[in-house]
Amino acid sequence: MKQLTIKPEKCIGCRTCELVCSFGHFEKFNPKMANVTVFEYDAEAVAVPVMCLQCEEPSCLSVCPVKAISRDEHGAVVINYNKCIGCRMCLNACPLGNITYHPEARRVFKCDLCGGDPKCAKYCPGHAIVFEDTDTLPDKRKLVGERYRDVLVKEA
Amino acid sequence: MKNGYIGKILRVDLKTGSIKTEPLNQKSASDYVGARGLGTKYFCDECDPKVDPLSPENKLIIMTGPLTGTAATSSGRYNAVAKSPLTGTIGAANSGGHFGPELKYAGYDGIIFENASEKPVYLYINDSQVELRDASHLWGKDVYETTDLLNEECGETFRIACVSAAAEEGNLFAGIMNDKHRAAGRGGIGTVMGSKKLKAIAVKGTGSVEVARPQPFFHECISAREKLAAHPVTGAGLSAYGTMILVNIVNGVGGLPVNNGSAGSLFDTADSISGEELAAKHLLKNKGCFGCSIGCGRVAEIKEGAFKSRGEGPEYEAGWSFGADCGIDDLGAVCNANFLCNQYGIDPITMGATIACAMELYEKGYLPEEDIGFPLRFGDAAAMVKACELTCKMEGFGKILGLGSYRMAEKYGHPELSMSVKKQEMPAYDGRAIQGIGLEYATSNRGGCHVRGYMISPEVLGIPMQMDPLVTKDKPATLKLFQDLTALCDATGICLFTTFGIGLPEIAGMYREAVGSDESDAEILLKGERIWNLEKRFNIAAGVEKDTLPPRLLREKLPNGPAEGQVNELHTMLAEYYAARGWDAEGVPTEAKMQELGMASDRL
Amino acid sequence: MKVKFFAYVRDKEYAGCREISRPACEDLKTLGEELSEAYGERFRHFYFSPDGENFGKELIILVNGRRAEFLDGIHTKLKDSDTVLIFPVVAGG
Repeated sequence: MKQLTIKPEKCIGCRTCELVCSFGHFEKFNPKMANVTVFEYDAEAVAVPVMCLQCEEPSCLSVCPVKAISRDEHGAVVINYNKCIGCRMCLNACPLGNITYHPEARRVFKCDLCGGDPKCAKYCPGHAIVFEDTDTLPDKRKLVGERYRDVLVKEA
Repeated sequence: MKNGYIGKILRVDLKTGSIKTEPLNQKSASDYVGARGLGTKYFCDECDPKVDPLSPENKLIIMTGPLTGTAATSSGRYNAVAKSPLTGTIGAANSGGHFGPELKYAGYDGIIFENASEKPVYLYINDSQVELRDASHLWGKDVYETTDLLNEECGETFRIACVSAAAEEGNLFAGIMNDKHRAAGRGGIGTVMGSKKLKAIAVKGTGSVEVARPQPFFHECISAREKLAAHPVTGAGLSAYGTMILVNIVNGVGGLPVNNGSAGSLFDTADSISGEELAAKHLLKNKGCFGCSIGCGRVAEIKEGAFKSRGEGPEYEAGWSFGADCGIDDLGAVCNANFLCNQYGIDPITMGATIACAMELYEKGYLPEEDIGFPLRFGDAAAMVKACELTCKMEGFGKILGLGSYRMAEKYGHPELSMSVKKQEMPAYDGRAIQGIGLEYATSNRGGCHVRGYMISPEVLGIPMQMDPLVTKDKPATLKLFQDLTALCDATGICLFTTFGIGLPEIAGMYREAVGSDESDAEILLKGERIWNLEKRFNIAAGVEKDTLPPRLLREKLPNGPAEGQVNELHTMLAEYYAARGWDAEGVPTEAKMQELGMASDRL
Repeated sequence: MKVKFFAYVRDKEYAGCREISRPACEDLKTLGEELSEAYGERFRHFYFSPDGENFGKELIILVNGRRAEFLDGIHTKLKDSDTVLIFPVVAGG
C-alpha cells in the first residue's frame, strides 16, 4: 500500500503542494483550500509539509454521524459528499487538524490522495513529498544495516 | 474575477487615513499586464514626472501580476513602483517570497499609497478588514525586529513587508523587505515608503485566485515547470550553488570588476568568494520563493570568527559588490555585509559599490580619513563591514555612504569615480569585457541594473544562444528583445530566472490561459515593448540624463584579462539600439512608434 | 598548461579536484579524450557530444578566457602557457 511520506530536509518551502492541491480539488489557487500546508520555521531554516496521515483508526470516520467517511481502495480516508451533512464533527474530532472548512468551499475537506495519484507528491520540485509503497520503507532500515557494515569494515 | 486578476485595487490616503477599494482598470491591465507594467501605468497616469521623489506627492504602488499566486512557474512576485529618489527615473523594484500572492488571496491586485502620514503607521489587511494602525513602537526597528513584532501583533500567518530605520533616515537605496529576507531592493523604493511614514504592510488572505481556462492553464504551467526541471540551470545548477556560481565564470571571461573597476576585471582569488565555496563551507540549505521550483535562495551561516553571522544570501551581485569590487576575498566578510543589508533593508549592490567607490576616493587622496573615521582601503574586510554597518544604521560616515556613490563622489569632487548610470550603481559585470551588458546599463530605464535585459545570458552563458562578449554586432537588437521580454515577464508576476529555461512561448502560453486571451505571442510581447516605452517616456518627462556610461568604461582600457585593451563601444551600439527601438537619434520614442503601440493619445 | 574545474565538475564523479597542471596536448579534443581516460565515462559524456566529435551540450570551456566556440571549437590548439577553464552550464544574476 502506498502512502504519502515527507522528507522535510528536502522541502524548500515553495508551497507548490498547496497550489496544486487546491487546484486539483477546487480549480482555484488558494492555499487555505489545500489539504496540505507547509510550515516554515525561519530561525531553524526548516520547512515541513503537513497533511492527513490516513490514520489506521480515523477519529473522523468514527465520529461521523451519517457514515459519510470511509476508506477507499487506495487507503485514503475519504468523505462522501452525497452523505455529508456539513456538521463538522470530523473537523473537531481529528486530533491533527487535518480536516478543514472553508467558506468558499462550503464543505469540509481533507486529503483524499487524489484518487491514488496525489498531486502534491507528483509536482513537489524538491521531492520532499513522496507517494511511496510502504512495503519499501524497510529499505531505510537496510541503510542502518549498511552503515554498521561500513563502520565495522573500516574498524577491521 | 476568473482571469488571473482579483479585479480590485486598494487606495490608501496616508494623510487623511481614507481607505477605499476600486475596480481594477481592465484596459490598463490588458495593455500593461500587471506588476511592473500595470504599476507603472497607474503611476504615470496619476503622478507628475517632475514630482520630488521624497515629497508626499510621490505615490507608492504595490502591484501583483495575473500569474502571481497561481501554479505558474515561480509565481511569487510583486513590484513596488514609485519615482526613485536615487535615480529620478521611474523606480520599479521586484520581489519574491510570499507577500505578493498573499495580497491577492486577501482580495487585491495592488495597493496605491498616496500622500504621507504624520505619524508612523502600518497597513493591516485581513481579507476585507483593512486598517491603518499606529507604528510608533516599530519606528527605528530593523527588518527582523519589525517582522517578528508584527507577527506577534497580527498573527504568525500574516505576511509582512516593511522598511527599516535606514529607509526612515533617508538612506537613498533602502528597499522594501518582505518575508524578512526578500527585497524589492533597488532604487530606494523603501526610502519612498519610509518618507511616507509607512513602516509596514501586514497581510493575510483566505480568498482564491482563479483563471479563465483552468485546465489548459494548469497544463501550460506544468509543462513549463517540466522544462525548468529538465534544464541544467533551473533544474540543478541554481539550486545546488545559487547565483554565486557565476563568480568564477564571469571572472573567467575577465568581466568581474575589481577595486571599483580601477584594477580591471580579473580577480585572482575569485574562487574564494564563489558559489562552490559557499556551498562547500557555509550553506545550511536552499530555499524557494512561493511557487518556485528553482530554489536559488541560500540560507548560510558563518559559524565563527570576526564575521560570525547568519542569514539568507548572498546572491552573486552582493558577492561581487562586497567581494571583488572592494578587493576582498573573504567570504565571511561578504556574507556578513550582505546579511546586514538584509537586516537593515538596503540594496547590497549599491552598498558594496558605494564602499568600493569610497575606497578609491580614499586611496587617491580625495576623501580624507577624518571624514570616514578610519582607513578604508581596498582589501580591508573589517573596514568594509564596518562601513556597511554604519550605513545600515545611518551613523557617522554612513550618512554620506547612504547617499550612494554618485552623490558621495560628487561631494568629494570626483563624480567620474562613481560606477553608476543615472546615479544607480552598475552590478557585477564589466561593460568593457562584455559589450552588450554595457549597452544594457546605459539604456536601462532605472539606471545601472542588470535585470532589465540580462545580456550576460547570451554573452557569457550561451543561453538561449551564444554571442561573443567582445563584439558589438547584433547586440542592440538582441538587447531590445531581451528588454521587452523581461518587461513582460516581470509584468506577469513570475520570476525572471525562469527565462533561463523557458521563453516567450511558455510565458505567453500561461498568460493567455490565465486571462482568457487569444492574442498571439507577438501581440503579447508587444505589451512588454509598451511597458518599456512608457518607462522611457516617463524618464524623458522627468528630465533624466541621457543614456551613457561612466567615463571609465568608455575611455579607460581594461588593463588585463581576455578583454585587455578594450573599452565599451557604446557610441556604435547606441545609435543602432535607438533605431531598433523605433526611436529618434536622441533616444526619444517617435510618434510612429507611439501609434504602433497604441499610446499616441496617452498623457505620457 | 593549467586545467581548472568548476561547480559539479569538481565532484569525485567527474574530475574530483579543482585544478591540474599538465603538459599541453594537441587540441581540446585530445584534452577531452585524455581527461576522459583519467576521469571515466561520466566525464566523457559531459565533455563530448554523443558522436564524440563536438562538445557536450552542458559544457562551457574557456581557453585563456575565450569560449572555445569563438576560437577553433573542439580543434582549438593548445600550448603550455594556456589556461583551460571547464564549467557546466551555469547561470544566475
